[in-house]
Amino acid sequence: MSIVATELDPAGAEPRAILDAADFRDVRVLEAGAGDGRLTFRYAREAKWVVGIDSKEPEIRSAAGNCSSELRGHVRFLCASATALPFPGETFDIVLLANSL
Amino acid sequence: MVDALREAHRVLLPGGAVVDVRPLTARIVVELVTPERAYWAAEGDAYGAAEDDASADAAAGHALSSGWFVSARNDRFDFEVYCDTAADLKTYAEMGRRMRDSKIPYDDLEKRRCELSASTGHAARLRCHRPKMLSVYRKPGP
Repeated sequence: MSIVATELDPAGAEPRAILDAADFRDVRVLEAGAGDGRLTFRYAREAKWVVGIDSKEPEIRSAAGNCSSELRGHVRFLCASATALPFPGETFDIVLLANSL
Repeated sequence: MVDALREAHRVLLPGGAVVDVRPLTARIVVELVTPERAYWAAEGDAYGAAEDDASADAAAGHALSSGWFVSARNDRFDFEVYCDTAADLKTYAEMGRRMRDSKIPYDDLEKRRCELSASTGHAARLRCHRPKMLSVYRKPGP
C-alpha cells in the first residue's frame, strides 16, 4: 500500500545524475532554487556545507523546518534571489541551479 | 537569467562548476504500473515553458561566449513521478506552467487504471516520465 499520493523521483535519478556530474565530496555548494529542500537533502551529506536559497520565503521556511538534525550542522537555507547573491566573490566550489535558470 | 549566471560566476572559485538541471521541453510518457509490469498509457506535452527554456539556453550561450564558463558536460536523464490516481497526476501537472496544457486524457487514464487494478488485484499507479537535462559549466581557473 502506498502512503503518499504523489512520489517524485523515488529511484533517485536526479541526485544520482547530480552527484555523477561533479565531485561533491568536501566542497562548498550553493543551491539556487532550493525550494522546500527536497533535492538538497538527497545530496547534502556528500558536501562540506550547502547553502540553499530560494526567493519564495514559505518554501525556504519549509526547507529549514524539514532539515534533519544530521544535516542541520552543514546545511543552511536563506531567502535570496539568484540574481543578487548575498555572498562575497569566490566562496563556492559548486553552484547548483535546480530548475532555476 | 544572464544575471543569475553572472552572479554564479562571481561567487564561484576558479575551477568551480555550475550544475544546471532543468526539465526539457519535450513529450512526456505516462504508464500504468503494477508490481509486475508497466503498460504504456498516454503521451502529453510539456511545452508550457518553451519560451523560458529558450531564454535559459540563450543565457547559457551568452555565458559561454563571454568566456565566463566552458561547457564540460551535458547529460539527459529520466525524472519519474508516481501518482496514485489520474486526479493526483492532474494536480501535479497543474502546479507548474510546463505541463498545464499537456492534453493528457485524465478521465480515460483513471478508467483504465481502475480496470487494471480490478483485473490484477493490485492498486495500479501512474508513472510519468519527464526528461531532464543536466549541464555542467566550469569556471576557468588554475
